[in-house]
Amino acid sequence: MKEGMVMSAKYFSILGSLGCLAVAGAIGCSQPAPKCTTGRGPFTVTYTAKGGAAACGDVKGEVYGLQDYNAAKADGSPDLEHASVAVQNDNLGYYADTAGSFGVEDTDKTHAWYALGAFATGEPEDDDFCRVPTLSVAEQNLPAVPAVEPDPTVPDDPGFPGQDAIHLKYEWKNLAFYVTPAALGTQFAGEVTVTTDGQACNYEAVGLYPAVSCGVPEKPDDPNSAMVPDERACNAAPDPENGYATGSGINPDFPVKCDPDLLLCVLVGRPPALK
Amino acid sequence: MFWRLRSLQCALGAAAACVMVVSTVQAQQGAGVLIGRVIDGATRRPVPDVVVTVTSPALQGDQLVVTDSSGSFRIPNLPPGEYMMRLEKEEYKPFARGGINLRSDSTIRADSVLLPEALKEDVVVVAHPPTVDVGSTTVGMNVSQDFVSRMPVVRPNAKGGGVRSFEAVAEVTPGARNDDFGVSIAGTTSPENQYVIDGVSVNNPALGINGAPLSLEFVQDVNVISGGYMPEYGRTTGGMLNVTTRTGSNEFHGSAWMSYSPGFMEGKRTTIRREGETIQTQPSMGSTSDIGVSLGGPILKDRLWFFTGFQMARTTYNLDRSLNQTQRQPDGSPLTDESGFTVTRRIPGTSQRYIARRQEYQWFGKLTYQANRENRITASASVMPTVSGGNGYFGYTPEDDAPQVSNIPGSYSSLANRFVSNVINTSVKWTTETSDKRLLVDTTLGWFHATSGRRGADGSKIGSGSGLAGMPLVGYRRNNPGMRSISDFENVPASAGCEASGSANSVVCPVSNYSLGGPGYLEETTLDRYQGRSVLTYMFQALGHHVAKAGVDIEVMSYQHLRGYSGGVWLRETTTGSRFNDYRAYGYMAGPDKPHYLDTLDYTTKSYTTGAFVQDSWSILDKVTVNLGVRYDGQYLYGADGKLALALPQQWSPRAGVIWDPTQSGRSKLYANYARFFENIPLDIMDRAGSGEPQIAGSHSSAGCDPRNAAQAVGSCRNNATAVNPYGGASTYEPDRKWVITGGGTTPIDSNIKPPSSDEIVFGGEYDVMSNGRVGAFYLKRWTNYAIEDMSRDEAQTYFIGNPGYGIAKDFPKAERNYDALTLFFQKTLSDTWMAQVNYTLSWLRGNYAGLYRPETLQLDPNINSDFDLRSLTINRQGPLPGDHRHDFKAFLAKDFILPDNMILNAGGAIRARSGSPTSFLGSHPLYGGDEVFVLPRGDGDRLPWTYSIDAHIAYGYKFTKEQLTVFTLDVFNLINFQEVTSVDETYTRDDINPIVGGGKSSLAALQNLDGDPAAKNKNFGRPTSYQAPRQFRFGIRTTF
Repeated sequence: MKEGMVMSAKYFSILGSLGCLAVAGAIGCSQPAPKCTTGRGPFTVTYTAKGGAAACGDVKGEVYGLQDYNAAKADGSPDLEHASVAVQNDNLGYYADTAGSFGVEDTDKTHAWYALGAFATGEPEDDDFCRVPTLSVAEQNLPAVPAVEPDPTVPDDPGFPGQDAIHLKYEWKNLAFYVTPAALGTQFAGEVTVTTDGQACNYEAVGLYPAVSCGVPEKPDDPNSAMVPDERACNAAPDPENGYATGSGINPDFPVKCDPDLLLCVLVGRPPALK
Repeated sequence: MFWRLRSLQCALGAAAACVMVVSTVQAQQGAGVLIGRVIDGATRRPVPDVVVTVTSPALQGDQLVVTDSSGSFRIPNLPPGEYMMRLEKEEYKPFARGGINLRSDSTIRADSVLLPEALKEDVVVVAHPPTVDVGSTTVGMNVSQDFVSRMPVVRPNAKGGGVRSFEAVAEVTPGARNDDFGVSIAGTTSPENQYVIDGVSVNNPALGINGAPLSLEFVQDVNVISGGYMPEYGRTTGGMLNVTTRTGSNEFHGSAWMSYSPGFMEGKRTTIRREGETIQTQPSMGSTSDIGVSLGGPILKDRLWFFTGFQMARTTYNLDRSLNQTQRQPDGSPLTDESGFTVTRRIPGTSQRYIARRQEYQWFGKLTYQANRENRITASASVMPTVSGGNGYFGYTPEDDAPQVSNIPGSYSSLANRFVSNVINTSVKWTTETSDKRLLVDTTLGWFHATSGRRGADGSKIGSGSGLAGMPLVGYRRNNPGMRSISDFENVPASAGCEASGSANSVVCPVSNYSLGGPGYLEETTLDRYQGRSVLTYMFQALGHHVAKAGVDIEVMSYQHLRGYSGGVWLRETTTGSRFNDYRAYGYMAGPDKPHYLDTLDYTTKSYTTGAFVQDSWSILDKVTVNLGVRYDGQYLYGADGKLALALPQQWSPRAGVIWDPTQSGRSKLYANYARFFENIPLDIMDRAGSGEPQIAGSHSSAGCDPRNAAQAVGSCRNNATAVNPYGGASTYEPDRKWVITGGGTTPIDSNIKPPSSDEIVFGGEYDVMSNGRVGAFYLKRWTNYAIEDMSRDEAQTYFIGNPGYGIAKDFPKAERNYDALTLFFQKTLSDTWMAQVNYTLSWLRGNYAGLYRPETLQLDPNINSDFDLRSLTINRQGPLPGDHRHDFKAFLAKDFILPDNMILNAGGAIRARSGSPTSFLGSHPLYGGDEVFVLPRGDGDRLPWTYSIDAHIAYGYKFTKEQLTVFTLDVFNLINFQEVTSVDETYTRDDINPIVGGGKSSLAALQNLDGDPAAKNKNFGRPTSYQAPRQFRFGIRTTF
């Protein structure tokens, strides 16, 4: 919008102010919509298998990291009207990071750890969703990392047991983030094809931000006892009397539960899932 | 006799008051009304058609009206001042009475008795001038030049003490007290007040604090309105400080003055015990002085007058810095005193005096044009440049007028700034009225313009890339394996025994924090406010007298803010000393690990407000006055992208009051009032949350990045390719492996957000007990309806702006601030050579929301402070607020002595006594850090002790000629040098802890940190961190003609 148009819009707002005298909720009386964005950090993503091998159904979900970005404009400032989002699988990151610490890398430099795609709109659509229709492919084809024997000169050096070669590929599409002032892209739905060493599984995915662990030792005095779910860990409200100095970090409007398999707090229902 | 006395009093009042420059023009705001009824002394029946004439030194010419059939008269729109009234009618003896003191915004009733000429017997008419304002329910205090020139007010080191700003006298008002950024009125915070000079708002558009500290030398009176006010006043949830400036008259008058407060005469300051550190600094007052001249007079007699003045003020503060070595026990461990603090000894030859210095200049000018009896135009302007710091001096932070440092742990170039600012404030007022004075239109236009810069000590500006502005600030803070030695940074005499430069662990001369390089955060701001208002007043009769008003006003605010970090980044050493992190750097990520540093952010944000009001003051049979009205405001705030970011229409402020005069003669009143107030939101919220503050951070190995090397500081220390993750490695799910985003985009707004408002009830009574003296009592209750704050429902993951407790923030506690105050007072304006102001306020201030700044941490981010940021921060926050002083007593008394041989003397004194504020037990929050957790419910600590102070003022003058007078003055503040504790260390523990919900002091023993270990108690907890300001003197000399 040209400067002149901006200015005249503002002068209208002065009149609009008086206009609001008569008509509450008239144009100019309401707050602006938020920008398309995501929760920045770890999401718990639960899967619903769509075809593929029977084993695909065994994977209930995984942790992903998300981050959003603004491209640089010609003058070097950020383009706040156009955002993109990167999605990175925590397991892929673990394998690649571990290999990298031993100098082992994917030989194909075109492969990225993350999938990257652009929001279709600057602000949420009428249904409060911001959509990312297509994303690049996240892929790492990692050679094996040899084992390293413990160094006898270093006390308690565990050595390294080695890491098998692994080829992981994540193909995301049709991401839809729920974005309102009360929930800034902290739940999303999407489709992902996960290919592990050539074995592909298609999932409908639901993401919840942030990823919160809800497993506690069955015997509180024994940290090595079996982990069992604790619903209190998913509670949005702080509960200092029970040892939760802060809340879970999950939006209190979201219906969540502690998944007994993942031992992570997961969203109940599909976005927009609200209590 | 009366006039002679008056002129002498005037002389005593020194400059301002005295020369009694005539105020011909008063706009409606600040004007007074004189009403009355005339009865026949023999028949006791009303007398119609009496010619009532009022004259005053404050009034050009005279004003006359005629009583109506009920014997009543009403003279509106009178400038505040002392009036003489004459009553004349054939067949009656003429009657005159003087000494009627009309204050700003007041309605004074002066009933009179006329004696028939034919009356033979003696009838004694006893009447003293009335002083009760029977037309309004406002509470507060009118601080006149009579008061200011006779009382010890405005301490030299108070906020605004350098130029003796008008805002510094507001604390004398019943229930008011100084807070960190100005004066708190009715339990609110200073940025909530409305500061008005000649009808134009001068609040700082960005922060809400006073933006134009106009010297009292140019002020005629300051009307401090604490509550109970009508719809013509709005856009404040605090109090009103309404300033009327001085005006020229038909005679030339002028004055020249000088004042000086020497630091060497300061009373002994109590030393604050602290943990012994190598670098220590002892503060003391240097001096405060000002010098100025003013002149007023006619340009065209009876038509055009001028008043102008100039003042220059200088304030200095001494900072005596020394290096000290830690004392050891024979076993090598640190020697500690009985309080557990490490003992240190000064290293000879390391003492150095630094000085903080500020210079302020003010020019004020005013023109008054009386076109004819019905039309008057006034134009006034002030210009106020200020500079502090630079060229070897430290500066003064503009927000609180305090020296910018209290200790000097680093180089001068990294810790000092040059602050420059200028304020231009202009207003034009046009008052037009019909010849019968029933209809009056008052139109005001104003422009407030302020520029300021926080620059490098060499004067370099942010964005220039040159000088200190081009050098990054570097903070050294290694503590593992040990602290750095002072020798790493400064040359220390070898005899001191400090560890050599490069030592891995210093125990003799350790330095926990040290800064080098450039000054860090720098900024340039430009603030503008354009205002226009027009008010129509109509007086009519309908079942009594009505004074109806209607008005509209428009206010446009603009805030241009260029900011950045010198050299583009503030680098901070890691605790191991192996790397330097970007501690603060503006920038954003264009994609995974694609950082873009932004050397500066340059935002312009705006606010548009429109308002309108109608009100009627209806006086029924001169017994009861009913005030009714409503005000509407709508505020629209725009972010840096030029788009609407926050819309706050629907600000309806109903006001209703009733006043009953039981005596029916203007000598008493009982009153009650209800009002709703809305806040005028300063632009800081738009500049920060509404526009976004993108920040990124990387980390740079000290192997390739030595920030002391100027080339590396802006070269390898900012190399994207060699940067690593500042937190010691990215999590495996993070697409960014080397960089982190530490600040983001705009903060969204709850679509159902409500504008912030408060409600108030006030009721009370006043009774006229002597000539110009009245006693009164009132009860004032004010409570918060809605506040606007930024909040995160998901524990700092995402933020939004809304109303705590409502809308999408419904699961937060509601913002509460409840103020209850009972005030008793006695006031006597100057007459019979003495004046007094005595008041006592019993008050309660409770809640979880102090207002527009956080007293615990001095965070001044109106509407985006940290009070409600997280739900886990809100636990235990309900309780007595920091401003909760239960008892507050103030007494001011002044007496003039008329001596022979043209000598005059006056003496004034003030006694203040106030009970202490509450204290709390604070701990660290796992996400928000130190002092953000209330371990026990707010206010569970011991209250601070009472503080007392006795101040004195004495003036001696000599009249050389009829017109020329020279006066010497002496003010002494805190005469007894009381050194009572005014704050204590409330940090109970520096550990991250869980608050103890509903716990008491007995549960503290079992307090654990989040690791499950016993929380380490702060050794200094509960010990004093500040004492009362010591005894200070101010000498003055003034000559007037």
